[in-house]
Amino acid sequence: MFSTKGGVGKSTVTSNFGSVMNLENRKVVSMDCDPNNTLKYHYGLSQNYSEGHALLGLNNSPISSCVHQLSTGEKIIPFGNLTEAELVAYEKKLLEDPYFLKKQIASLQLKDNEILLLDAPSGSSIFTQQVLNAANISVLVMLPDAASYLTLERSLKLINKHCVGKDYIGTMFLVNQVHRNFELNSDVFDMLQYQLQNHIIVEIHQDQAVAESLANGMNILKYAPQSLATEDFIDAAQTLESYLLGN
Amino acid sequence: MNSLSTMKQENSKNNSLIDNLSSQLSIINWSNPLIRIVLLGISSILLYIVISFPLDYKMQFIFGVAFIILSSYISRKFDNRFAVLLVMFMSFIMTMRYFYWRFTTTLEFESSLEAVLGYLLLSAELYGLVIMLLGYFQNSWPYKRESVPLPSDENLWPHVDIFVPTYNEPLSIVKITIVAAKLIDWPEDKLHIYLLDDGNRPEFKKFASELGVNYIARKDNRHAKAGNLNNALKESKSEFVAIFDCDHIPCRSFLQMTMGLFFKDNKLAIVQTPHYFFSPDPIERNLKVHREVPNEGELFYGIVQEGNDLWNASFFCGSCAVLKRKPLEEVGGVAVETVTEDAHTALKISRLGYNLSYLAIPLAAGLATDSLFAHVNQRIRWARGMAQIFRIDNPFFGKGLKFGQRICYSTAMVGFFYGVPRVLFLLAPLAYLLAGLQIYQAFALTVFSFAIPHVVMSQIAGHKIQAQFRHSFWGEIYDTLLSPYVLLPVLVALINPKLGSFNVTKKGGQTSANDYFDLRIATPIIILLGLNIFGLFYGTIHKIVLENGDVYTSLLNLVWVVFNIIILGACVFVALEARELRSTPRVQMTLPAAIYLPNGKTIFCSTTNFSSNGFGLLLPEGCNIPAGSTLSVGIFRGKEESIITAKVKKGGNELGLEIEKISQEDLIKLVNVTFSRADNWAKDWGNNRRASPLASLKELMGHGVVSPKKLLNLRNLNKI
Repeated sequence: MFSTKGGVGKSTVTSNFGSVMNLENRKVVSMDCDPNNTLKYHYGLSQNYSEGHALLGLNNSPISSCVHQLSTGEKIIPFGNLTEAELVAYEKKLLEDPYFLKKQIASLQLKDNEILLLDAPSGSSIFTQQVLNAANISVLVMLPDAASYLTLERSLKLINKHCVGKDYIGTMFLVNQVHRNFELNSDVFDMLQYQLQNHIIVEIHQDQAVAESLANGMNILKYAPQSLATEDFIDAAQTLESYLLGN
Repeated sequence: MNSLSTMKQENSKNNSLIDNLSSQLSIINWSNPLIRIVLLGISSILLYIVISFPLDYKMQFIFGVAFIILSSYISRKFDNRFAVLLVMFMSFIMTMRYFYWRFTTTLEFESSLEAVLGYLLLSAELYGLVIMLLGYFQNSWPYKRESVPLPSDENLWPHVDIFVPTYNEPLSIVKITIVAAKLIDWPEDKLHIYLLDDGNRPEFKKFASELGVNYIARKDNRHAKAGNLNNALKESKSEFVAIFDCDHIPCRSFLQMTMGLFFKDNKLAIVQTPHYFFSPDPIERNLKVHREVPNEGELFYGIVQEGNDLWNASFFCGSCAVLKRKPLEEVGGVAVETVTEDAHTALKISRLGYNLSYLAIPLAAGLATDSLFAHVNQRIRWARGMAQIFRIDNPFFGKGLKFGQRICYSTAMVGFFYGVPRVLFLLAPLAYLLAGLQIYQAFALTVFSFAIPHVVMSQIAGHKIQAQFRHSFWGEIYDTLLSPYVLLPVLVALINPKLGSFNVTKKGGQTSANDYFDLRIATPIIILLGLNIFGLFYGTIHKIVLENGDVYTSLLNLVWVVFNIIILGACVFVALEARELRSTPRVQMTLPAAIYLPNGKTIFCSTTNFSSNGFGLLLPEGCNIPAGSTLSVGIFRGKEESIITAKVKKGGNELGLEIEKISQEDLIKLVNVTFSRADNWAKDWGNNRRASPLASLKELMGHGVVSPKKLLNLRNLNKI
């Protein structure tokens, strides 16, 4: 899950996708690739939880030891709390090898039907590039606003540059916070749909229940099962699943 | 030894006789007209013998029962056209036997009063005979016309005007029809929509201009709908005109399915399609049998028009049809001389040698008349109109029509003259029970033996022809209910076609809670019912208990009275109409939907039904919303979402909502998703249970519905 813009809801999408797939008895692992290390909050882990794959990667240790399993069966690999110096060193390591993350993932030895969800940071930094290099499918998360529409071109360029190789299946587009009652929102969404008509595009409606669920430390399915957002997430996750596993 | 060789010799003699005969027969040239006349003569003589052969009542009864059993067997076992013709023929024989006997033995009356009443009854029976025979002719070979694809070059496709005439119907309904018309699949520059508003209403004009359709309002309302259409013809010019009543909502594929026929036949003037209804008409609703028992519309559009189609007489019915402008203008536009301007226009067009076609695929859906008052009113208009046409432009006379067309047009018209005969039937048994008058001079058992095969066989044949579309005895309810009302208008129109005003069919108006009209409608039925009940009791006491008169005759008349009571009882039940609280009929449709709450949260739910101004929502379990709230609702179909602002009229877990605001764009999306989709309607059409005459009789008597023998599709409707 990636985007060049910030605040579009990548982490929310990652965790909710995870819970949908998990409910369907799929083995799901979510991996936080953002130095801000905030994905863990979506899974009920506290600020103090400092373990993560980045430090292990920096020290060339196997990252499988920091995979945290939840009671639901989902697994999460946080980024980890790094000092500034550690972060700089880690970045240097990534710059030296564009496929570092990919190799790290390979070392996890995930089974064939396991799904790994990568939560990338915003922007086009080295962290994002590593994620794109490693992904089989990239999900571009957008908001139906002018900024997303204007940066679409740039995001597509980024994909074309880094999502190469025979392992890459394709791109899915997710428009988050859609609300048909708001004119600009609705119009931009229509434009995005038109622009991306030959691609796979899914929508998640704007719903306060999503933010509330995070605040309550739950995923949306548990918090508000009868909401439209839940329905949207189920739809989108299933679309992603069949796109990924169909190939 | 001797006898054996004799037998052998005789056998060989017989064989050679047969051989001789067949070789002689094969010499004959069968297409020679003389041979055909001889054949006709021989078969006529044979037929006459079979019909007139005198049998005593026991033999006649056995003969009749044998025919009944044989024809039932044939009817059940064989499903092809010849089986239908054979069963028709057998019914014809039994019926002609009845009438031969009737004419030769039952008309020796003892008093002049008896004679008058007796001949009246006979004429009523003869009416039934004429209708039956015409019906057999008309339906002997329904033409199952198929749609024809258009040429692939769109440049060849013609311009089409769509006329939607309206007078006093509410905008909420007309809106939908106009939007659906706009959604018809046809090149935009060749599709011209005209809203013909005889009510001259400003909100209609505004709606038309906002949507981008033409608006025509006349200065006067001369000749009602016909005048309205003719006026529009003057202000438009496309080669073809499609006409929809303002509550007949066309589906997207309407023109795609119909216009191809015009390319195939350039003498084609009219393509008519069925009138399908979303909501039950008053008779169905009152008897709570919607979708279980076929309604009158289905009978007509399912079978009768197909029968008409073979003979090139499937006439225009006022809506859901495409007409070619040139023939229409040649006859001077839509006919204004009668109140059934549609049938009359088609008749005039037929006379000029043009062809008519009927496509038995529902391509538009609409409201049924929504109150008994309106229903009766509409049927009165048709009866009057048909009588007018019969009087001033009789299809049996005048040039331009082929024999088959004359028969079919006449059948349609004469079919509405059942008022007098039916009322006579409802009163006839009382002549004996109340007054001892023998208006039917026969030994009762003989009557049974001739009449029962005649009646039963006609039911069997009728069932074979039109089983899916009409259960045998429901036809009785329809005809009986309307008979007192069509009686006078028909008689008046036949005598002086200019008398009588045009009653507008009221559609979409409220069925009011304090509407005494419906009780008034029941009055003649109640009177007839009362007379029959009285006749039952009086007859039983006076004739059976006190033993005045012949037991068998009394029994026969009492059985007749009981049958009348059952039918009249059902009619009364119909007339005590259930009060309809909603003002508009609905289409059942389940679509995913969501409620957007003011606090930013949402509820995922689904729609239940749609009407022109509202819809129903089914909330998830445990969810409730009170009445009075205003909601923002999104309705989904695929990638499309329409937003509606609606007020909750009925609260709870299943909501009833009234649309307050919907953008034009969203209205178009909504109509596209709901009313424009033909596949929803086509599933129901012609799918009614095929019930045997016995089963429908049981239904009529309220003994519960007999389980169906099989579900039949009239045809593969997946072509849409």
